[in-house]
This record gives sequence, structure tokens and C-alpha cells, in this order.
Amino acid sequence: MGMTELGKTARMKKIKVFREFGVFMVMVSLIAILSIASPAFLQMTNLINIVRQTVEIGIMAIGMTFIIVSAEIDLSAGSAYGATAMLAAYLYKAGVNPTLVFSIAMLAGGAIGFVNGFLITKAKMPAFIVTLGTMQIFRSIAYSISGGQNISVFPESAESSWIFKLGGSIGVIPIQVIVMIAFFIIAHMVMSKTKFGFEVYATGGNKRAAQLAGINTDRIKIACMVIAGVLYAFASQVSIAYLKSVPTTAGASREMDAIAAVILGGAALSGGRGTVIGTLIGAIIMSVVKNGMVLLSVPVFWQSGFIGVIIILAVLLDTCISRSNKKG
Amino acid sequence: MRKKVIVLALCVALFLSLVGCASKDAPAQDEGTDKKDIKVSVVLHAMNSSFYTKMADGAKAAGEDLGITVDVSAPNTASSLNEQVDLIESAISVGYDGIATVTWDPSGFNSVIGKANKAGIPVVGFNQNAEGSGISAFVGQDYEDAGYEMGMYMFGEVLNGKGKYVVASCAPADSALIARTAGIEKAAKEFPDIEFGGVIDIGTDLTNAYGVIENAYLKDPEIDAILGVDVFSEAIGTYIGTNKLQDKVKGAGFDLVEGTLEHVKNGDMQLTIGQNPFMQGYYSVLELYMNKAHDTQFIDVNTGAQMVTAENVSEVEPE
Repeated sequence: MGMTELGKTARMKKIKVFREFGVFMVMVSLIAILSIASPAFLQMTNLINIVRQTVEIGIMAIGMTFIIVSAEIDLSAGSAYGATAMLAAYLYKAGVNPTLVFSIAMLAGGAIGFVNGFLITKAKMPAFIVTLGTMQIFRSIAYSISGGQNISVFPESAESSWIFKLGGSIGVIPIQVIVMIAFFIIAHMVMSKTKFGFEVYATGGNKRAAQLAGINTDRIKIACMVIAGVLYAFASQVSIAYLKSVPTTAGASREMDAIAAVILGGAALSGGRGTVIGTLIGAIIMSVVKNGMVLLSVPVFWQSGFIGVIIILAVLLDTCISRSNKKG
Repeated sequence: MRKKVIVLALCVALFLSLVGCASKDAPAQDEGTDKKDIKVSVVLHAMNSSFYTKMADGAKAAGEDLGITVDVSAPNTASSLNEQVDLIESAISVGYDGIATVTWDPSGFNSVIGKANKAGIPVVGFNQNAEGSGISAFVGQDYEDAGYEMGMYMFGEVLNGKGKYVVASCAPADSALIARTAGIEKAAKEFPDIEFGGVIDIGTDLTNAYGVIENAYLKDPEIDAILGVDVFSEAIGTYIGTNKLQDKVKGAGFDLVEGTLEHVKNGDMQLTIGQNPFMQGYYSVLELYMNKAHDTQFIDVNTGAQMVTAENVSEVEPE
């Protein structure tokens, strides 16, 4: 490799590291401001709450990262979460072996992802339309499984299982936080170190070029959808373990939070760009902002608006920094 | 570089303005007395209806009357259990002296209310009750009784003991609405010639609700009455009035929103039942204050079922 090539590689690595810098600075700024504005912010309980509240969206957003980087979108995430939650809750309540129930929920999530992926790639339908449709279908499935009723009060056989331990803590650290961090590490390794991760970026960055390079882009997209479906299902199990109740509205609108976390983290909706680390930072920002609304007693009617403004400013700042890095 | 600085400065300015708002709203500490600044958090389950706004208004009015701080919050997505639990957790972190919340899920709030209690923060449930959730008191309507009163009036006075009815519910799985429906069915048993036509899910959007009611009536034109069990029953009156079905179909609902009251005035609906959301918010805060400031015991408060018909609708203020 010549000196010019080495220089280019070094510059590209620098850009890659700094890709999350913008949104990281936003997170740091928000934390700094809230620490000054509210004495409660830095309390251990509050910090643990913020991280715990990031878990559900964080895990869903990992899956969404794969999808968005591959240049697709998934509006059915919340409904998939709800359907798998209801299915699992129904089976837990019926006394089915919890490990079997968990496995069924994961399979169901994967199947949901496969359906989305298949329709998008083989039927050549736009992901927006496919997942808009499946969003309605999966929500109906959730209602049908439960008969329109909330499901709660699970038998001892379920609540004493390892799955419901996900809702517990080791000391002061919620187990689900540890699991979320593990997922992010694994996902980061997959996206940044494996052939599969490279192929996801290639598929999203330039599908035609990827195909010419011998990448089966349909298989990649289906795989991303399946991974995401499994992660949505896992997130729903974490929620069941923590809340021990599944309302019929479970997961409603969660897809928007997951998408926002991914975009906040620097991913491009057009595909080919985005990192799991960025997504984690994006998810944390959303939890910090929502927490901040309560700590700062922001009037209730303004809260959604402020969250929206923060999201826009965060992406704006990140975009400016990314552009500056590229010029440099 | 300049752009980065400007945008970062904007972020800082925005959040400082938030800080400014919070500082202005917080009552000044009086260093000369021992009076504790009592802070109560009110966590609603939704803000997508004037009914819920009324609850917030009641809570804030109590804060003003008592000279304490009342902060209201609600999930971005209506009836999102996860979001509402997160808000309550945040309120616990802040260290509020009391929390009032709508406990609409049978057991989903148990854990977080347990956390609050462990932190020494009492929780009052209002509007919808979840037995065994750990709340110190419930402020709201007895739902089954209210449904029963609706049924008795509509089946006895309006339908004269004969006819077919359907129940329109915005959330058929909601425990409060299930209780109201049960009350209606209990009343129906006292009229042998009253037939139940089922429950229709009208959702929480009035346009969608209208369409569902329209479809239900098209499917079964034998329906003589549509009984709503929630604030979105306004759509019943809209459908009856728009299609001039006042002679064929009778309507009833809950809550005193302006649209529903107008329907009762016009004869599109024969009854609506108020549950005093303002007082639900008000009494919840009052209970928490009395306990904190004067160590009083918590008690359940029944805000009653206010029957509003054509005879007294002009005397009622909208909620």
C-alpha cells in the first residue's frame, strides 16, 4: 500500500471515529446542562433510570440500524413488538414452559421480519408500503391473540423463570441494561468486523455496485429484517419481565422512537451510513431528553415539541460536524 | 467551525430557556419559615382529549389553592404503559412528595408504585383504578354503578323496556370501560325485552369512531340504541345527528365535552354522564397535600355519576 493510500485510510478511519462525535457532543452537552439545571439528574437512581429506560428502544433500534443502513425502513416495529409480546404473554399465562415460550416469541419475531423482507425483495414492493401494511396486520394479530384484553398476572412457573429475571437487578444494575450493552457490543462487532456487516453497508450504500461485486442484496435485506424482528421480540420479552403486564397498546408508536434513535445516531435514511454506537448514543439522548422534561418541570403541552426540537438540533449539529470532517 | 459553534450555542440556549421556565415556575423558598415546599407530580395517561386536560386543570387549581407545586406530565403516545412508567420513575428520582397517576392497567404499575412507596412517596390513583397496585387511595367514579345508571335510564325511560342496543367503547380492554359495560349489562337483565347487540371498538379518534358506528348500523339497522362508555361517545351523537336518525336510534355516552352536550341539547343523544374530571385531578392533589402537610389518612373518593339529559343540559358547563 502506497503512502497516499495509507493517508487516505487514516483519514477515513478518522472520519469514521468522528462520525459519532457530533451526536456524542450533543449527549455530553445535554448531560452537562441537566446536571447544572437539576440536582436530581446526577443522582445514581436517576442515571440508572435513564439507562434502564433506554433498553427497550435501544434493543429495537439495533435492529432498525441494520435495516436503515441497508437502505430500507420498517414501520411495523412497534406492532411486531406488540404481537410477539401478546403471543408470549398468552402462552406464559397458559402455563407453557417459559423457555419454549421465549423461543416461540423469537421465532415469531424472525418470521415477522422474514415476511417483511420477502415482500420487499421478492415482491419488489417499497418497504414503506409493506411495513405500513404489516404494521396494521401485526397489531390485529396482537388484538386477536388477546381478545382485546390486557394480559397480566402470570403464573409462578413463568415469574420464577430465567426470562422474568431479565426484569431484575444485580445490585443496583438492572439486568436488562447489561443485556442491552451486550447486544450493542455484538452488533457493533458484526457491523464493523464481519463480512456480513460490510455487505450490509455495501447494499445500502450502492445496491447495484454491491450486486456487481457479487453480494446477494436480497438475502442481506431479508437477513436485516429477520435480525430486527428477533430484536423487537426480545425487547418485548424484556418489557414483560419488567412490567409483568402487556396492554393491548404494547409497542404502539415505538417504531418512531427506534427510527429517531437511529437517525439521531447519524445514520442516513438513504442507506449505507450509520453505526450501532451512534444508535446507542441516539437512544440515550432520547431518554435523557424525556427525563429532562420531568426534571425541569416542562409544561406538559410543550414536552413533545421540545423533544422534536432537540432531535432536529441534534441531527443538524451532527450534519454540520460530519460535513466539516469530510471537507477537512 | 463557526456553524458548529452556532448550532451548539443554539442547543445550549434552548435548554437554558427550559431551565429559565422551570426556575420561574418553581415557588421561591422562604428562608424565614419552616414551611416545606410540597411538590406533587401528576402523571396522566394521555392528553389527547379535553377530558384529560380538565383533570390536569383540576390538579393545577389544587396546587394554586394550596400554595404548592404541581407538575403535570403525560406520555407522548396515549396509554403507553412503558412511557407512563418511565415518567413515574423520573418523578421518583426528582423526589416529589407525592404522585397522582391514572392507574389504567390492572398490574402494570405495581412495580413502579412499589418503588415509589419504598422511596416514601405515596401514590394516589385517579380516574381509573387498579386494585392491588399499591396506591394509597383512589379518586374517581364507581364505573359499574355509573354504567348501571345509564342502562336503567336508557332501557327504562328512553326505550320503554324494549329494543336492541350496542355498546361503543374506545378501548374494550380498558378495565374502567369493562366495568361500565358490565353495569349496563346488569341493568339490561332487568328488562327481558332488551337485547344486547355486542361491543364495537370505536378507537380514540372521532373520525374513525364515526366510521365504525356507521358500519355497525349499516350492518344491523335493527339497533335501537348506541351506548358509549367513554369520552369518545361524542361520535354517537354526530352519527345520529348527521344521518337524522333521532327517531330511530337513541344515544348515550360519558363525559361532558362540548360536542356531547350539544348533541344532548339537539336531541341526537338522550343522556351523558359526567364524572367530574376536574375534581378527580383536584382531590388527588388535595389528598397528597393533606397527608404530607397534616399527616391525614388517605381515603377513596367517589366523584359520582352526574346524569345530564335534555332537562338539565343547559345548566351544565362543558369540560
